[in-house]
Amino acid sequence: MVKIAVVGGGIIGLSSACCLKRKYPKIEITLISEKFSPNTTGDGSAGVLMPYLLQDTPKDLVERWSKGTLDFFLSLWKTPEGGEVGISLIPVSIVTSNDEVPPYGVFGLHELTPTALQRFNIPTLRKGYSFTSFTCEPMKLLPYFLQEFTLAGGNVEERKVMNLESLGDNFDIVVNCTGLGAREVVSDESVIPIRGQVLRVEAPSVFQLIMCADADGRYIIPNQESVVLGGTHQENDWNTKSTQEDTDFITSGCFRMLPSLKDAVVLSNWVGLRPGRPTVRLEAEIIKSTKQKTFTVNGTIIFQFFFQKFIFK
Amino acid sequence: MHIGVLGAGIVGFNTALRIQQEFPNVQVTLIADKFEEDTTSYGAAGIFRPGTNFLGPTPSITENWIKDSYNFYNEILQSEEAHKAGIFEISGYILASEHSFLTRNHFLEKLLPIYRKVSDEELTLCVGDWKYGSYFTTMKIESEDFLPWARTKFEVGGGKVLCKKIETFNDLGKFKLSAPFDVVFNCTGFGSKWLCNDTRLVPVRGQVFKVKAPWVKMFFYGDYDTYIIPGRRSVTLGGCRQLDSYNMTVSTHDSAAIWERCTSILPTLHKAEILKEWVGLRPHRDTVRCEIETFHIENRSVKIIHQYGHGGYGVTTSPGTAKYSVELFIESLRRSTGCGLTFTPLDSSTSSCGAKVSKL
Repeated sequence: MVKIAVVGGGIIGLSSACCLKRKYPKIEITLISEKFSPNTTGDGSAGVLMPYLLQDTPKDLVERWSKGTLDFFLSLWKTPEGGEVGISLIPVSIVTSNDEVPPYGVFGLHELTPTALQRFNIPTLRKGYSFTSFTCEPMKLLPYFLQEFTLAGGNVEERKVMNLESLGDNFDIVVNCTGLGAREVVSDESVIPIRGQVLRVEAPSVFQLIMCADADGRYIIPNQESVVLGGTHQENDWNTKSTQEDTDFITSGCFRMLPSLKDAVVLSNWVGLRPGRPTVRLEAEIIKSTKQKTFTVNGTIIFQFFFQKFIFK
Repeated sequence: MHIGVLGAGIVGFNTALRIQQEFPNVQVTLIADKFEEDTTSYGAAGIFRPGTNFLGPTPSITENWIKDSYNFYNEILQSEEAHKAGIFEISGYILASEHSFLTRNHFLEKLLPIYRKVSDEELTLCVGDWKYGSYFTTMKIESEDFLPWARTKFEVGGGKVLCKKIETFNDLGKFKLSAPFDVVFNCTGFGSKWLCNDTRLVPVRGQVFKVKAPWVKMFFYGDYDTYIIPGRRSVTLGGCRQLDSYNMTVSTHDSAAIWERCTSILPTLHKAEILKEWVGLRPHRDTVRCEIETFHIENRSVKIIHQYGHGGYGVTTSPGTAKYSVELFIESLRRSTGCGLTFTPLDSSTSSCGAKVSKL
């Protein structure tokens, strides 16, 4: 009987574990992770369905993955659980000073008029898009996935995995969803942190997502109980403490786009390290375990849907 | 000169503010017996959306009312005051299963930053067999914040607020005031039915739920009378439009119908926490009454400027009707007293009628 291990209990690991369990209910699957929600990277993010910082990952793959996620959110949105699970339908405006390519896989995509662009108070803006999309807060989605996984008979182990070879003795397939941890676990030094700082504020009258897609662009993302103001994307920056400089950078930019945010009470100031890589690694590899048993890592059978770079967006 | 305003709902306070804007040095006193949560305005969702049947004296005046109202609220929206005044931007869908005309709005299509037809994919965002739809971006003006904000602004501007009940206009002569009223703006909404004995004013009963559903960030309208409108503190689920009903108690039948209609469009509402149910009587009139009448109160000639009958569109149209009513007053001053007013005509697109009163 095949035994599968999923390493990593963040958004990638949990969604993979659930997906596997749905497709192969009788197979024994074990989720192993050092950290679980609310202490994963994804927990701090706003959870916007929008590919971001995927570098050179092939476009057609990103499109396919995004579509899978969109279909998943749409189906959950139309069930009673949708809201509790963290899903929200939201109007989005993306504006840019460059010739940004319009986003794909969203609803009702339209270009913004020059008059509409003026409302954002950024004089260099040249283009903008309006559309409807989803947010899904990992803080709510992860517990939902974990519950589904365990109720379906999945095993959960809370421990740190040092390398995959040690798992190969007990498992035939290992799904590596370690994110930034892949630097240690599989010695992949191409995975680097992309530091993101965000503030969460109390602003219950913000009902739209505004994002400036420039390199120094800031964003405003409403969640259920707070509004996320961001952000930064500093490559190879390991600093997990928020800085005043970044706080000022974020707030000044956001207040310019939405002046009435000035009164908002700040609830938290948080930093997460996005697991950046030149491309998303999604591939199978056969390696030998410590006891010389062969096993498959990252088998391609499993990916029916794949969560995109929610992180901080 | 002493100017009075009757009514502390959205029409009363928008009128009081407009008067202060045109006559910054004149004493203005607002009188009402119901304030804040006791007003009809309070329970309204407050979305800026005039009904296609909304009517003033002429179509052109009606359009100007709506345009002036939009500009008034939009100016606050773009400022730092927006949050305090309870004004914010909101977007959403209006869907129809049979009649495409239900998704159209000739007022808004000219005015809003976005008002467009939906794509086929967008029709799948809500459960149901939807054939037509529009998407638009508008504003919400929440009376729960706007009324206190307007009151503060009014009082800071020197305005006085009195809590008194008026049965007839003659009662105005019985109060102890700093000076008797020269002109009174009647913004009593449904109260005008009795105050003016106006049989054309008819209640249109509405009932809503206020629920906690923080995942709802857009509004949805479905066919007839079904709407889901999020706000700062709660989501409003509605509704109904019952002509000539005076029933102020919550009807369990209406509750069941509204709940079923809303949850069938948005099943996630099944998990919403119900905060309260509320009933309001929209002060409906075939057309809004905006005109001047002269009364004799305690041997004095007092101008009464009526401004009531906004139906379900008081929040949406009152800045515009307030501007118009004040212009009516200024026009009448010019005609009757001839005291050297400079005045720009009615239906002007400027935000102020530029009146200066040289003799008071």
